[in-house]
Amino acid sequence: MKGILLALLLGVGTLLPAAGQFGATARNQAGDSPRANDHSEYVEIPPDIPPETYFTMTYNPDTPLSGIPGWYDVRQGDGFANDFKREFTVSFQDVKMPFPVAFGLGRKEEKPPFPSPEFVVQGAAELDSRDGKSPDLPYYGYYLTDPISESAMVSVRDILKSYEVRPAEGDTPAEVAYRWSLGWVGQVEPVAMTTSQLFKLPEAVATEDIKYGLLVPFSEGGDHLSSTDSETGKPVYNPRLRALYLHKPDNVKVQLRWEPEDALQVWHSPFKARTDGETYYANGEIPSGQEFIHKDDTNPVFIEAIKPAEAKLIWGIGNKYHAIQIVPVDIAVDANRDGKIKFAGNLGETDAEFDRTSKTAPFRFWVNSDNDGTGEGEETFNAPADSADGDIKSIRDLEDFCRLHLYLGGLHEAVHDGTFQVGLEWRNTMGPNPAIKVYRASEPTGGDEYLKNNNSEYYATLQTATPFKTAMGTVDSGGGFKLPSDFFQSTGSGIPSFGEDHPTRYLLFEGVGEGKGQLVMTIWKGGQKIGEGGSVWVDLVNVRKMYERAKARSNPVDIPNPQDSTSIPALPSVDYVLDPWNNQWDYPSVSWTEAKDYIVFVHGWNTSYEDARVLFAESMFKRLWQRGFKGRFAALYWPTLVGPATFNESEYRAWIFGESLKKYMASLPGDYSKNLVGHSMGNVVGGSALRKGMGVRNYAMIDAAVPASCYDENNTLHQSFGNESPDHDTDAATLALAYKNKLANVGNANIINFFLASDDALDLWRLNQELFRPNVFYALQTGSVVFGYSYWSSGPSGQKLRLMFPIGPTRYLTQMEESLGYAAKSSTLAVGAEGRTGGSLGGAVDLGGAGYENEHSSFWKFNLQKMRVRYDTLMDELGVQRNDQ
Amino acid sequence: MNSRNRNILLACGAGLVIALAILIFWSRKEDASRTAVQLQSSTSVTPTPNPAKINPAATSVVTPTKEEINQRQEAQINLAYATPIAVYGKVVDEAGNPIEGATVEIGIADRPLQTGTNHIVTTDERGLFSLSGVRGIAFSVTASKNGYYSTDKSNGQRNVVVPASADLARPTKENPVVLVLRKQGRVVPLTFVSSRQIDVPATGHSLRIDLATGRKGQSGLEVASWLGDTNQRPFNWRYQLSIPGGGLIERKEQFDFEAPLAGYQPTAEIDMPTTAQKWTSRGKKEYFAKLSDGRYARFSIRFYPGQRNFVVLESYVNPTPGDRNLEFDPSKVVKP
Repeated sequence: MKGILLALLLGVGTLLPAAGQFGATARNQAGDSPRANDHSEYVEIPPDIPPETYFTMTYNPDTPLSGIPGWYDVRQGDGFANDFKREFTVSFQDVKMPFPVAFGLGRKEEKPPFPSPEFVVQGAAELDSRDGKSPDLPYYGYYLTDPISESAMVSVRDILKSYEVRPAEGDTPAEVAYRWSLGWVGQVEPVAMTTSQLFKLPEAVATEDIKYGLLVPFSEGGDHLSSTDSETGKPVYNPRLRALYLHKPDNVKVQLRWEPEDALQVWHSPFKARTDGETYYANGEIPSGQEFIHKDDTNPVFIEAIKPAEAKLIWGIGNKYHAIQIVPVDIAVDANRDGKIKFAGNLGETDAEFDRTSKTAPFRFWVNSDNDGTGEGEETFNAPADSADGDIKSIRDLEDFCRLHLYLGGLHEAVHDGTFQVGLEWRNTMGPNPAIKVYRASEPTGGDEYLKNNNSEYYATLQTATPFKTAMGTVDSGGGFKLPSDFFQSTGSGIPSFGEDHPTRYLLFEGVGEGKGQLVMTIWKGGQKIGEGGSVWVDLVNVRKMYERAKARSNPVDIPNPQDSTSIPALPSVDYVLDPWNNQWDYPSVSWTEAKDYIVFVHGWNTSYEDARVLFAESMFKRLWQRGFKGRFAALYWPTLVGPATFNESEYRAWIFGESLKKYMASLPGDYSKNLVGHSMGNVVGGSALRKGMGVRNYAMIDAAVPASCYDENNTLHQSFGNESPDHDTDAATLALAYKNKLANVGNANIINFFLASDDALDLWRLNQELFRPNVFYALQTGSVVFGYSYWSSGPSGQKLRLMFPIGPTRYLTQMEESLGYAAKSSTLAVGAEGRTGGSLGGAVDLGGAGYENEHSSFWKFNLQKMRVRYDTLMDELGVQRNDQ
Repeated sequence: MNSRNRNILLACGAGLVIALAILIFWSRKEDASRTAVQLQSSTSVTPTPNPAKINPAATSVVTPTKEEINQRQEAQINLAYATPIAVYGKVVDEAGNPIEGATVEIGIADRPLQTGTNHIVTTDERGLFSLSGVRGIAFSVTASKNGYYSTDKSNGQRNVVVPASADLARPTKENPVVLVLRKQGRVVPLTFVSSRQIDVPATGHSLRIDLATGRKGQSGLEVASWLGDTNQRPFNWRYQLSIPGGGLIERKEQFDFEAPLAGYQPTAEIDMPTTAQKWTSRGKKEYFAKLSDGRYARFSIRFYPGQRNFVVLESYVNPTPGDRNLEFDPSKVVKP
């Protein structure tokens, strides 16, 4: 408007369209004015910017003058001027936003003083006349402040009554005996607060004063009003702020106030300074109730919702006011992974940090692509992904879910009775097709009991029953997902009805498709979306992108059996190779702070590649993650053999591949604390690596299939497995090939023994000691032919452990790997079955007790709910941070 | 081991080869049958080759293939798992009184490379139970009953059937395994903090923890610690615990649920110098505590000195000042 008036004053009327052709479209001026352009560099226009077109206006002056949609009259000299009248009709059609819309009328007058002008407006209920003079551009503004809905016609009559033109003393007639009057309806502006997210309140909620509502996410508080876009480098305002446009003629004071006063904060700008250092607004905050001149309507004010309660925001010019209902809404995940979900605005857990996500630091979670079977659950291969059917079939499957909380601080009845619907949609998606399936959470308070066995897995079990087990739908890029209305009703399992006392609703979700995007809460009425609430940025990936893998390898690939060689066999050279398995892991910025910890896992004997990867590595990663581990997880595969009669050959390999583990561990970043978890015979690999100098801070041996005598020579541990053990020998050359003290004093690692005295698999280990140590492949009791290993305690030094062939000379063992793999018999139980093992071990954790039975692989085969306490203990012993929920 | 497939033919006469082959065929049959008999009697051990008996004249032999060796080893394993097991036991309370209706879970290691089978039996009026007709190489027994605590003695030690040379005693009908449960006392509503990690400054600055919430608070347990160079092992570490306005007493009995009336000390110290006879980087203690407001508590605290220095706290607080009963029932947790 300012530019138009100036143009007229300068006689540049041709800038305006000709009368009768003025089918003007009132526009948001963003992009038109230098200021808007200037400002646009600082504000990334968000999706909730109001549409450029508010309405279509047809201007139809019945007395066109000079082709200008206004009028003027200039008289010079003395005398009386005649009445001056002009009438106009302004038609409004297609009003897009039926909130208060009005237009301004201006008049420019200069000396001598004129009688007060008079506008008569018909077609709108009221006229608010206000002196809007400004020093640099005096004019009068008139504003209709009552709503103009879909279409309206307003007639405007301007009457300037006759008056006398008198020069002032000292004026020359040529200079002063003039007056001019400018009437103008050149621009119609909405006089309103607008955002595209204003929605009409349902009748039951609306009042005489408040007919519109606005959904506002909770504020993050503090200094989180703006940030810098990592891609453009430009400052952007926090999307939790709601941009609110105050449409009115320029230079007119406006007032904003709100109730309660501590519910909101309103800002001129979230930016304290421009990037060039110039202060944009010295005082960014707008106090409630204080009049201010807002710069222009292309520059919004920013609403920050401080409290999770409804508030009334009132704005006005002069004595005319309008109000909207601020409805706080939000959506949250456990973004910082502290086990608690806390909305912004200090809502929720009192001692938790609130959960924040952003485009550059999204909440990363995995797609539920495995199959966890049914009932308690078991890892099932070659079966459809659990996320394929929208049905939670096992308790184990719940480790592939995480929580999503929705908060709606108003509109409860309208949502409860189905007038409004609540939905979820993706925005700003990247990647293939981010999609989730959402389920009702079985726990009334939305906690993580579904991952625990408190109350005998009550909530986990409930989650696998109707109605909680059934997906309410899929949220994908197709949009339009709405939660069913019965989701907001009470259930017999203790979930209360949605309402003022219970404004939060709890969901679980599983990843269905990979991709990243902004998950937003939407509000619908009928088939029309009327608003959006908060949002969380979510990045869904294949779980293999979230942890590292390596494979031990040897040269030659097929490791020869040493008993095939009549001479001392050469040990293969070994190292490792990274194993992306079609999904290279990466570490983008995420919504939690990464801990500088590595946990490296090594599987045990009789484990296929797929078992090692999916059952063991992935299960362990997921469980550590769910318990709050924020460091990095890695798994080393080594080529154990599979089958009940492959123990010795596998142990031989395990001692060899310790070198691979040592090299892999050394390749990890040095600024991370490195921790090792070995399972069963994986602890032979771990022990071998320690012997070779592997650096590791903490080492958890789970169900370790390693003789206790390796760590502890205490004779109270001695067991007999038939024949003599070289552990008891006194010959140094023989002891060098025995288990005794092989892993004593091997570095500074803190080693913890997670043992299970009743371990079924370690019974087989014991049986192997009994039957196949030393490993005799073929023996005749007649003594005529023997092929195999033996320990002859009365033999000469260095010749007691030997490999005898059916024909030919005996080979005396010199390699530790061969001896411990085939010949040496243990003098003790395995560490994993012997809780008394001391020596170089730093402590022990008993895995026994009710419910843990005799399972050798309970950490992986039992579900997380059953093993949660054990995982917590494991994380304690590894010195890594976990949730304390 | 593929090379074992080969026939090793050394330079000998054909007649000798044939003779040896016949001898080997006969010997292998005998060996296999003998092994089976030995395993059934549960006395089998690995045959120990005696070098003195090796026939130096032997110059050619057909060795078994790898598959044959594996099959034979698997047969030996399976035979061991087929060993009959009979279990006899008795469940009693801490006074030796029989407990009727106790649930006894008997886990049998009955399948190689698979989780064993659990059998559930119930004790009779004499507290006796038994299980027979099962096979395996080992079994374990666990007893439980509502209203009773499990004790170390309610879990029978692993009883090994095979190998027979294992040192562990096996229960018989005349000498059953005895499992001990302890009867619960009067439980009261308590606040409960479950296993919470709490980071502690290693500089000697104390941290105050509310035992009712497990979070930092104004009153409760004060923890301070001093650490040596944690990059070295062993390293000195020391923790000091104190209850301002109250005191601590170490709790040593698992089933002692009543806080003592007197004898509280304002502080307790856990010191692990590098010269400790059995140095470890972990520690655990349990205490009764009398709080400054007259409430009583018990707690366990595990120490994790290191670069990340933290304790893991588990605590129970009786919210009623003066009430020293700290016996807990998970179904009666009160919120602080």
